[in-house]
Amino acid sequence: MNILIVEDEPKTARFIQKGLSESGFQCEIAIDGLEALHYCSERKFACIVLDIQIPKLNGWSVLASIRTTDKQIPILILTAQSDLDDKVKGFEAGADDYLVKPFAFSELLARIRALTRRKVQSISNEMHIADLNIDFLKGKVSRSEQTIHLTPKEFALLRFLAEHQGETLSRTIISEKVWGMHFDSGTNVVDVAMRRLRDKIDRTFNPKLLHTVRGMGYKLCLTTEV
Amino acid sequence: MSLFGLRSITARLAWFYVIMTISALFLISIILYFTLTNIAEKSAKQYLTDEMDYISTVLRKHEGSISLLEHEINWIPGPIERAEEQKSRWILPFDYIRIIDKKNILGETPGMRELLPEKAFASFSEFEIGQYQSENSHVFLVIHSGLKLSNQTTRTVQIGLDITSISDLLNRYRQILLISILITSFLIVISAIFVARKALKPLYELSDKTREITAQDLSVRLQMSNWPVEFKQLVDALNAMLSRLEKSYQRLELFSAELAHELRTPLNNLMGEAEVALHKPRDPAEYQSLLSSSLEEYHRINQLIEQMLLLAKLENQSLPPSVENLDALQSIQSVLSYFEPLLEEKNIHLECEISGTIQVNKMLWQRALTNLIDNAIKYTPDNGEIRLTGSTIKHKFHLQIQDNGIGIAADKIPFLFERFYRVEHSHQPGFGLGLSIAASIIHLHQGTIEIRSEINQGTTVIIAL
Repeated sequence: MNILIVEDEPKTARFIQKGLSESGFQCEIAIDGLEALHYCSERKFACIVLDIQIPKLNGWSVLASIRTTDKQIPILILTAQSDLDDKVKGFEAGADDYLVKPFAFSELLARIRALTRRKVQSISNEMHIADLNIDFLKGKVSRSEQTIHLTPKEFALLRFLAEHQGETLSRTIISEKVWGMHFDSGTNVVDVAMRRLRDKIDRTFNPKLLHTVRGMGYKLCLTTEV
Repeated sequence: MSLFGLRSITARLAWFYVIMTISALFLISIILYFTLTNIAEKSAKQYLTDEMDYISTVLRKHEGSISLLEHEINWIPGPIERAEEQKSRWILPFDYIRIIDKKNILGETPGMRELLPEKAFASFSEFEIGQYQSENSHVFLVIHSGLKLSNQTTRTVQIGLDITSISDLLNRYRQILLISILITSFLIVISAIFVARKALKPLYELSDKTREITAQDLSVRLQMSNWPVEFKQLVDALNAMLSRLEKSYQRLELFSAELAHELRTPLNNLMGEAEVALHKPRDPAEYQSLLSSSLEEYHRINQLIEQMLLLAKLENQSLPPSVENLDALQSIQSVLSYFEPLLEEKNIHLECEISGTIQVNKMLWQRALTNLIDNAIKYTPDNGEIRLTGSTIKHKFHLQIQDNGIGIAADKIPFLFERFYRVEHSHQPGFGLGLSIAASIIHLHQGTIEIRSEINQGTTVIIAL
């Protein structure tokens, strides 16, 4: 899949490109607003990562311009401003997601993956990973045929991890998607929640499915993939 | 500085003064002039009327004979009077009299024929006093009347009064008045400008003094001693503003210093670890470990900066951005559900009795609550209890968060909301900004927050919003 990265700061553009291509995406880099529009007119992208503070034509203008011709393409904006109102402004202007700099790359990746997922999803009602079975409809979890009782939030957490299987998810994105907390609360709630979840579904079972990625977050995957 | 635009106080003062004074001047002059004219006119008319009465009476009494009137009729100014006339151009007012019967002139003042022929009186009706200018440019007041005497004869009396001198006098008077007014007006205008400028001089001096105050030295205050009393309000206001600025600057400096200080530790870790690691080649696992550790520090620094920026922004605003009505219970419960894992871990019993609605910025409120509840959980031991009670009393929402934890010493309570204050230093993660942020958010919503605590008894946080 093709991703357009619009970012004028070279180091940033480079690490985004590196990270994304190592995760299976093809990337183009535009270093200013005009170049971005130029690329957009030539090629179709699966997603656009758009920095707001860029030269020649600023991000807002680029966003508006793209939206006049293409309402569908997912656009994620990057900004150094964490203004609460800027977020609203971003979504109103047509952005699909919003990340404040500095951001964790894993978060960028998770969000891009979410944005580029096929809209026509085969949302299965069940998920099987090794001997872990999750029934989304019934809200039941079992491992090795043993039913496991989870609180609603624990279930939501497990579901989120399972849906992003193999992806490293930062504490921030987990807070946001599972609990609706839109800021870094500076507390270790996510850690504790993960610990409890692990206790319930991983401790007495093999293979281990819940992994801590130091400095970055958590992921659910088979041990061999870590 | 334009003197014609009314946006200048000098101009306004000057114009006002000028207009008032000159108007007064004009008014007085007009009154004086017309009063004088009036008096002169009245006395002249009175004289004429009296003269006519006198002559009419005599004629009636003596059946139209003018013998007794001959002196009156024929009197004209003599040589002495003439000489005086040459000297001063002043002609004594005297009258010309003509008495006619049906066809003949019975008596006439010498010289009257040329100056005041009979036609001079023709355009006026009987007893009407009119004005007539003779061929030699003298001005006369004229009056005539017809008398029917008892013996069936008629007499027509024509009298003309020479008022040239009076007229001249009045003209000269008017001229002098006008010139005086003009000169005086001019002087008034000049003096007005001068006085207005002078009066406003202190204002310019004050501006100069104020200009000298720079960001370098905000402790300077303006002294009231030399300025006029009217400036007191202005000077006081300026000084108050200076105080506020000084405080803001101090706060800003302190803020930057604190931030820099807090950054030293993580930066030190990063630099140190990296330097040591680079001493000699290491295996990939070690490098990975280092990078992970560094990443953790980066997150910490990021968090610190984000929190400090939020604090700075909160303190700079006077009103919260976009406020909405929230159900208090719902908003608090959503935060509590976030802490579920922690609460369960420590087996803390939670009690919640909340009702009412609040007008708050959703995100900020969530944040404040998160920080406060986090604190409550932190300082409550396992199996402890946290109670939340909230209700609306007199338009204010009161919330109490009470725990039965380890409590806080009384001498430490005043410092709790200060930035970077931590009761047990460096045992807990975080920077000690949680309560500062919560307090800032509450204050931004025009609310109050208070902490009461006793060692080993627990802590209560009281919020009114």
